[in-house]
Amino acid sequence: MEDLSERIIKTDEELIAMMQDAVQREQGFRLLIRQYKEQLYYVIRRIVLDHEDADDIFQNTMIKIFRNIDRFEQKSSLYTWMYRIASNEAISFLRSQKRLATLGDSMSEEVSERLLAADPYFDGDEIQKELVKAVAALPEKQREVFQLKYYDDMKYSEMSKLLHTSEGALKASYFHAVRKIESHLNNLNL
Amino acid sequence: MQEQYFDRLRKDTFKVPENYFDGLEESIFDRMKQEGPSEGKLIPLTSGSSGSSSRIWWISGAVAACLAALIYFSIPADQSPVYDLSGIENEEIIQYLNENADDVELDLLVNNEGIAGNAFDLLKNEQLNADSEELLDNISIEDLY
Repeated sequence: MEDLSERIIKTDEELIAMMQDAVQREQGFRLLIRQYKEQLYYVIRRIVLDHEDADDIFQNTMIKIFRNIDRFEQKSSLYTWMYRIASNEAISFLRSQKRLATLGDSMSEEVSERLLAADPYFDGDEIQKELVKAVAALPEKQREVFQLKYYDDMKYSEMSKLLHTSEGALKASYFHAVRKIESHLNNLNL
Repeated sequence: MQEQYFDRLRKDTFKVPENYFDGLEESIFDRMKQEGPSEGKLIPLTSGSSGSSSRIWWISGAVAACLAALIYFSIPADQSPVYDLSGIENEEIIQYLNENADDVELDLLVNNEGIAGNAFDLLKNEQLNADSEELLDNISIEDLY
C-alpha cells in the first residue's frame, strides 16, 4: 500500500533537503519525479517533437538531476535548474543527431515534417502541424521564449530569471517569433 | 484568422501513450539500476612500484614539454581571433542573416548590453525604427507590470 505521506506536495526546499540526505534520497527523488515529470517532459517534447526521443531524453535528464543534486547551489529555483538541464539535454540530442541548422539552432521544415510524420503520438491536423513546424523553425532563443509564453503562459518577469535575459529582450524575441510564425502561415494556402 | 491558428496550436497536439506518466518513476529507477553507479573507477597514477611511479612522472614531464613547444611554435605572433565559418555553406549563412539580422539589432538595442559607442546611430535606420514602434504597439499594458 502506498504511503499517503508521499502524496503530499513538497516544497522545493524540502525536496532538495530530502535528496541531499542519504537516508531520504530515493524517496525525495520519487517525489520530485511525481511533481515535475509532466512539466519537464513537455519542455523536452516541444524541442525534439518525437515522443520516443523525448522519453529517452527525459529519463536521462532525471538521472542527471538525481546524480548532480549535491552540486545544486540553490542560486536559482529548483525548476530553473532542472529546466536548464532538460533544455540542454534536448538541444544536445538534436545537435548530435544533426537535426539543427549550424547557425541559430533552428530545425528545418524537412526535419520537423519527417519527425511529426513518423511520430504516432502527434495528434494534430495539417494546420496544427504547420504551426508546430513554424515554431520549430525559429532560432533557439525565439522558440524558447515563444513556447514559455504561449504554452506555459509564463510572465516575462519569471522568464527573465529563467533565461537570464532582460524583459525587453524577451518581449522583442516574442514579437519576432510571432511575426515569423504569422509569415509562415500567410505563405500557406490552407 | 491568425487568432484561430494560434488557438489551435495551443491545443495539446503532443500525445503520450496511455498511462505513460504513471510508469515513468519505475522506468527511471530501472534505468539507473542498469547503468549502475555514476562514479567511475579511480586508478591512481602512483600505484605500483616506485620505479613505475618515477617513470610516469618522467613521461608526463616529457609530454608536457613537447605540447608546450608545439603550441608555442604553431601559433603566429600576431593573431587576432577569427571565426571559422569555412565549414558552413554560404547559402546557410545568407539565409541566417536574412532571417535574423533585424532580430540581432533590435535585441541588442532593447537589451542595452554591449552597445558600442556609435551604436545609437542604428536608430537612424528607418526599418529598425518601424520595427521598434511595431514592437511597442504589440506590448500590452499588462506586460509592463
